Amino acid sequence: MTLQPHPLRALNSFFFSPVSVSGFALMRMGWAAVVLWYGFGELMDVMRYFSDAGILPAALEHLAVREEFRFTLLDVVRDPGDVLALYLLLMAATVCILVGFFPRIATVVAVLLLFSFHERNPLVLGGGETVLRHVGLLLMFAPVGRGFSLRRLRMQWKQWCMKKTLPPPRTIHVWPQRLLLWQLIVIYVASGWDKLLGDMWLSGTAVQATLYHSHFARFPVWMMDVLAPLSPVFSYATLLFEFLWLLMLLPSSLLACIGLRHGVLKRTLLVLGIFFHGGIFLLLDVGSFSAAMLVAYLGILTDADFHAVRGFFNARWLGGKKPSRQIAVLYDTYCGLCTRAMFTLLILDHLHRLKPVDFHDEELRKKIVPDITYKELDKAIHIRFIRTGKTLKGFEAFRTLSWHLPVLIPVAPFLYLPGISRLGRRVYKRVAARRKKCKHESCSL
Amino acid sequence: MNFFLILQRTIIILFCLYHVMAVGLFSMPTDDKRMEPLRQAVLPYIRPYLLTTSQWQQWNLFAPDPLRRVTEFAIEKRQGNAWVLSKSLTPKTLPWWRDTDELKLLRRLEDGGDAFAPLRRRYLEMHCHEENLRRGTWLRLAVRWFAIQKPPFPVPTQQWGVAAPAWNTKSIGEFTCP
Repeated sequence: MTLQPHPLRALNSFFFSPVSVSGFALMRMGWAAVVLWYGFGELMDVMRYFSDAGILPAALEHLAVREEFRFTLLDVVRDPGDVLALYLLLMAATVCILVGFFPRIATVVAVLLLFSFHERNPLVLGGGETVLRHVGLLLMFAPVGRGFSLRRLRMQWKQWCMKKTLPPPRTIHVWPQRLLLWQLIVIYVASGWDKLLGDMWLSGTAVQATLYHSHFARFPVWMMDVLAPLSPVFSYATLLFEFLWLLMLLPSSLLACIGLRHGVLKRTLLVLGIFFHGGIFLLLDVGSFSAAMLVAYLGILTDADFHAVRGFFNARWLGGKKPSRQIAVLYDTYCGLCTRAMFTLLILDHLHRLKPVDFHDEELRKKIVPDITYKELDKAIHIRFIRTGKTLKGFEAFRTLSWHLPVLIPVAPFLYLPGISRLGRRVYKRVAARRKKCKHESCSL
Repeated sequence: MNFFLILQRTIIILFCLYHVMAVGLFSMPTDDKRMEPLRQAVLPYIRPYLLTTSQWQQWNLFAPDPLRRVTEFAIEKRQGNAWVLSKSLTPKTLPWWRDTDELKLLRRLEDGGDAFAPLRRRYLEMHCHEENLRRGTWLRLAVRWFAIQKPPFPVPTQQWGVAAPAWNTKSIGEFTCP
C-alpha cells in the first residue's frame, strides 16, 4: 500500500476507506419496514396486479411491459396461488431483514423478489417504488448483516460476558455509500431540473395546485387554503433545496472557500430533507416516496453524523456541558439477570449516556456512590446522575432510564400512569428477589 | 496488496464509475429536448445495464408542472336506458391502503389511450368476476375530470376554481360480462 503513487492511494481511499456499517444497517431495517408496510397494503391486490388472473394476463402483458432486458421471476410463476406464495416469501424475507435474521441472504431474496414484482406490472409503480429498488440494489452489495443483526448481537453478548464492554461498530467499504449519495443527488437535481422546464414552479403556483389536487391532498380544500398563500415560498424553497444537493459534489477545499464543511452541509441537507419529505408525507398521499427517501437518508450517515446527533441531544440535556457518560448504573455482575439487563440497557443506549458500574468493585463504588452501602446496592439496581448526584433505584431507576434510551422514549410516559408505579415496584421486587437464581455462569445464548 | 485484491478493487471502481455515469445520464429529464441527442447517443451503452438491474429512473414527480387534471373513476352498469353506478373508484371510496396503487393504475389505463383499450376491458372483466355479475351485464369505465386552473402568478384561493369545479364526463371503455 505504501508503495502506491499518491493518486492511486487517493483513489483507493475514496472507494475503500472503512465507514461504520451502522448507517447502512439502519437503512436495511428501514427499507424492510417500508417494503413490509406498503407490501401489506397491497396484499389484497397481489393476484389482481401480478398474476395471470389479474389486469395483466400473459396475452396482454406486452401492452404494458417492455420485452427486452427484463428480469422477473413472475415470467415463470404465473398462477395466482403461486404468485401469492412468492409475495408472502417477500414479506417473510423483509421480516428477516428487519430483525437481522440472516440479513444478507434475506436482503438478496427480498430485493430480487421486489424487482420481480415491479417488473411484472409497472402500471402500479410510483417514485417511492423506484427509490426502494435503487436502495435495494445497494443493500445487496453491502455486507449489511454486520450491524443490527442477531449475529452481531451474539458477538456483542459474548464480548460483554468476557470483557464487560461492547465491541465498536463494524465497518464496510465506503463505495456503496458513495453510490447512494450519488443516487440522492441525481434524484434531487434531476427533479429540480425537470421543474425548471415548466412554469408553475417558477411562478410560485406549483405547491398551491398540488395542495388542491384531491388525489394527493390529505386534507379538504378549506384546510389547504390556510397553507396556500405560502405557495411561492414553498415552491422556491423546493427548487433551492433540490439544487443545494449539487454542493455535495464539491471537494472539501472548494467548500471551505465558501465557509462550508461536507459533514455540516450533509447534515443540514438531511435536516431540511426531513422537513421536506415529512411535510409531503403529512399533507399529501404520494405513496411510499417520502418514506423511501427518508430511509435512503439513513444509508449516508457516518460515525461523524451519529456523533453529531448524539452531541446535539446530550449537549441540550447537559445544558451545553461537554457530553460524556453521565448516568452510572450500579449493577450486580454476579447475577445473570442483572448482567443481561445491563447488556440490554447498553444496547439501547444510543445516546451513550450510561456508564455501567460493577458495585462489587469497591474502589469504583466508593468513588461513585460513597453514601450508599453495599447491602443497599445488593437489593436493587441503582442509578446515579454523576453531574447532579441524583440517585434512583429499582422501578423508578428503570422508568427514568427509559427517558434516556431513544427506543424506549415512546413507552416512558405510560410508566407514569396511575397504578403503574405500584405494579412496577411489585414486579421489580419479585424479580429482584429471585434474581440470584440466574447465575452469572449462564451467560451464553 | 495482492493481485486478486487489486483486480477486485479495480473491477469495483470501474463498476462504480459506470454506474454513476449510467444513472446520471439516464435520469436527465426527457422533457428537456436540448439534452435528448446526448441521451439518445449514450442509451445503447447504459440501457441494458439499467433495465436488467431494474435501475431505470426518471424523476418527474410534480414536474415539469404538477398534475392539474383531477380525475374520478367509476364503473357503471347499464340498467334499462340509464347507466347506474356499480363501483366508485375515488380516494374517498377506496380504502386508504389501496387507493394510491389503484388510482395510479386507473390513471395509467386512461393515459394509455387506444393502446390500452384491451387493458381497460380487462379491468371491467375483472369487475364482472369480483362482483359476480350476471352474464350479459353491460359495463363501462367512466371518468369524470376537471383541470385545476393554471394562473400565471399566485392568486387568492377563491380564484383557483376548485370549490365548485366544472366536471367533464366520458366513457373510456365498455365490456359485456361473459
